[in-house]
Amino acid sequence: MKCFTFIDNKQEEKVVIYAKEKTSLVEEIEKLVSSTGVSLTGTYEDTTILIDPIEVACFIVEGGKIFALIGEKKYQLKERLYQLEDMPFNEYFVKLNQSCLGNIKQMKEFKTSIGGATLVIFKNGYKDYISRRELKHVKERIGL
Amino acid sequence: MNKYVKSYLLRGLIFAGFGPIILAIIYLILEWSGVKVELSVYQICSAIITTYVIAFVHAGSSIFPQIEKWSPFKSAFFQGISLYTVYTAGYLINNWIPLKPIVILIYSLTFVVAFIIIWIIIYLVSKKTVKKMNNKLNEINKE
Repeated sequence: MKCFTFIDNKQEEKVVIYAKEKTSLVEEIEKLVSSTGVSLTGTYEDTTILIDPIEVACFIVEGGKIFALIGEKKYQLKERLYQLEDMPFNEYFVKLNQSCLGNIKQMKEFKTSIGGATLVIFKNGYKDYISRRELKHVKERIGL
Repeated sequence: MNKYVKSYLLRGLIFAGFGPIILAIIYLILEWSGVKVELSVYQICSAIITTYVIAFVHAGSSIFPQIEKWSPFKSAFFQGISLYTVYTAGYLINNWIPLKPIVILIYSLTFVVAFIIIWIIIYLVSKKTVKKMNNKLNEINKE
């Protein structure tokens, strides 16, 4: 793959990839670019760490606080949910309901429950409902 | 005001007017069918007000399945109870069904069966959509 860099302070900064197929290299570049400039920090039991959004299953609101669920751990964030929706990494995330922003790459499966509600089960075991209002967006985001 | 209460009232007010319109259509159909309907002023007023309230509650209670914090069972239960209560009260007030145990039993069974069938249809439609969503999700996870 050829690589060109143009230094021009009048142009908008962007990375354009032309590839014959989506390889792991392309994904790595996308991941690197989407995470650039984003520094999310989360606190878990007096320990503050730098959070890689790709590893986050979902961002949830509990008791007015925002948490990032990574594996079985729940890191508290300072950001609000609407701020997280606008972050550069949001291409991986989709709003499931008023208090949950889920990472598509961390979703394991969808399930139907009685009443027609759709449940998302994440790879870390966390479950949450997709509200009827957001179902349309979720379907669009996964390409349906 | 709670946003769900607001939605309940808004939906109720928007669709409540359809109750008396449906009532008028039914009376017209009865008239065209040769059924003799003689009503007093009180009966007409009662029918109009009742159908207005039924339509209000029917439209308003459609918000229950959208309350995110409620489980689907809880939503279905409260919606079912609301609809059953308002319809039964409305029918009895206007003597559209007689106050006899056997009639109430048949009416109640019909209501419950119809309600369950509607929920089963919703469930099956949702299940079909979820199957498609899982196929797409599997494709994404394989990439």
